[in-house]
Amino acid sequence: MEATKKGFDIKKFMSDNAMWFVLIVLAILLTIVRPAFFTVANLTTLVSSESVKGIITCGVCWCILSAGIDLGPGAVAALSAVVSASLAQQADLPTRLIGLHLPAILCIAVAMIIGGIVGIICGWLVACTHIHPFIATLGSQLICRALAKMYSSSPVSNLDQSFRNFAVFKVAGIPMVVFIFLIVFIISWFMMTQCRFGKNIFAIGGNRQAARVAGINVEKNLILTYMWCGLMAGLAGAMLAARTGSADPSTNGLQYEFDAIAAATIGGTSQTGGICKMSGVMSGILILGIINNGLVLLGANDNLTQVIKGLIIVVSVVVDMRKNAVRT
Amino acid sequence: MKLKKMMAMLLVGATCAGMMAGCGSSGSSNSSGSAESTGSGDKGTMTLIMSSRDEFLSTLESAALKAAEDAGVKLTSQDAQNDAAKQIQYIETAVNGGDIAVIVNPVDSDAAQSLVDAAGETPLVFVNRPPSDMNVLSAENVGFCGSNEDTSGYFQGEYLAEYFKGQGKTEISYVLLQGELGQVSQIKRCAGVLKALEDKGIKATSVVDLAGKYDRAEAMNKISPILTSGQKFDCIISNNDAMALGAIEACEAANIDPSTFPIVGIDCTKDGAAAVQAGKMAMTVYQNPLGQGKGAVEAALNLAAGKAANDGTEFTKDESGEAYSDSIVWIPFEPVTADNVADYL
Repeated sequence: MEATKKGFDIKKFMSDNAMWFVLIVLAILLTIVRPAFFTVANLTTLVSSESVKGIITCGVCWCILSAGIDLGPGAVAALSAVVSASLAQQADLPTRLIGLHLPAILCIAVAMIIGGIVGIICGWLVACTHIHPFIATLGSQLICRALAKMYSSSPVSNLDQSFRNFAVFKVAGIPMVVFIFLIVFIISWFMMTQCRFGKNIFAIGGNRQAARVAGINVEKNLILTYMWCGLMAGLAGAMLAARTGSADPSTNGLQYEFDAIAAATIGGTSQTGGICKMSGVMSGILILGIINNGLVLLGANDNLTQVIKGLIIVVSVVVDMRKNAVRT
Repeated sequence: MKLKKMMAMLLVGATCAGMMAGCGSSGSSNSSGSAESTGSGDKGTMTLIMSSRDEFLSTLESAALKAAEDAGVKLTSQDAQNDAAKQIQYIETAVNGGDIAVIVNPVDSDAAQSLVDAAGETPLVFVNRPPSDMNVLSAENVGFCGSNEDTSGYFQGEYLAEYFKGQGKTEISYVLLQGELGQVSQIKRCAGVLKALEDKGIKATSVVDLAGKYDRAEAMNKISPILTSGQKFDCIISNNDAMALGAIEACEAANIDPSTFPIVGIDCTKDGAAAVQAGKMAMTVYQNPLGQGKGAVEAALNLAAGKAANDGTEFTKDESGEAYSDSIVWIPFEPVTADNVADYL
């Protein structure tokens, strides 16, 4: 309506990137109160702490974009963590969970394959049986958590250093897990903006019927979406085990899916589907990271952290809905 | 064509699930089924109702099953999956089925009275988690077997006091890694360690209290900012071993040698004991799941025979002199340091 005026673009830019401004303001405030926040060491810590959840978020945002949801990733991560860890235990360890020992890269591949298979099943349920994604993935969450506990009743530790290096080996002082997160992020960004697959999911999320009429194979694309989310959850599980040096079937990845959904939502991904920007998702991941990291530095109570997280999620969604309502 | 594809996918999924289940049963002693039972049942049947099955509770469960088998009692165990209502249902089923006694690992210690009510006249033994109101134990058919959580943290405090007195320090600062906030174990473990430090004349101040949710990764994430921002502290106190191990990982990631200051945990898990042996963790406290499982079965048999729960026990009797003292069988916590860790590996 006022597209000809110059001021409009700035306003649009501001509202499109509102969360990046929030991020910068938070960072500046924290730096003023606690100068220790804005140091290379602490920022590296911040990003490496959020990397595992970040990898999951790169998968979950696709499900939300397709007007679905995935509640499984935390449990899938736990399952793939214990399985890959059991394959990566030191070869000469007398208490190995299973006899088979695989090279590190194969352990990670196995973790991703497990995630991928769970994803394909969920995707098939969502696309072909038309049950609500919430229910389908709630099922996968319960099943995967139980399978993880069946696979091993106690934490799997004493992992090969070659496996652990995929997360902890430092290049220029930055742990590998951060690079893996960035690679995953770039792939996700590329698929979303440059590939036909990304465009298809935008269309499906926006209006499934219209997408079908336009000739998009909705079922195939939805299955691929949940498979991608599963692959990411599997990778995150392997990274979790590699980073902490142990995979615990009962506590690993607990509620990670909610942090991932929160990060995607804060980043402007619409729960009704069809709207998502990877740059926004990154801002969501970093804002949660700053809150987690900053409140520890401030010595705040953990319950307060939860309250602030909850508020930011709700407020960001309200702002987002208003923004989208104005535009349409 | 499409149908075939779907069938293929389903089959792949089913095969995979089968593989998982197969691996599960070949793993170490685990308990994947919902109900298990042992024993011949010559001397009657009993039911054990677990709140859930983590590493510790699974060990306790197997010990109880074995003790029952040795005593010739048929013991069936159920998993209430952290659902207090389900637990009451299981008790009612057991009582209606004519069990001579029920052993319960309560989901909610505040709801102990309703569990006792559900059991009626049938002997009921609480295991691992005590009722929050100990007076519940005054009833003749109720007993408790477990470890005194007041003492687990206290052992940590005593160790730290000794350590710092050896260095000539009376004022220290600590980082506290707390378990799930509000759980009885978290509250008592935190209170215990601080009380011991105070009793031993050490003035301890908190640098920061972190909620690590008893999880290794969470503790690692929470403590990393403290380490990289260079805050000064003398020791790390953790409510369990998993979080202490997370702190050790975080130290190593930040190029800090974890053996240069004491990190103390509780539980004495396999990994925890290994860390104590490697000198990375200063001490941990052993909670004896085998003793708790065995003690609970013995207490249940005692009650079923009309005797006091602690009659002839090899474990510790309660000496508080309360009306319910004879209903309690204490399984002591044991401090584990580099000196005696070899016994726990």
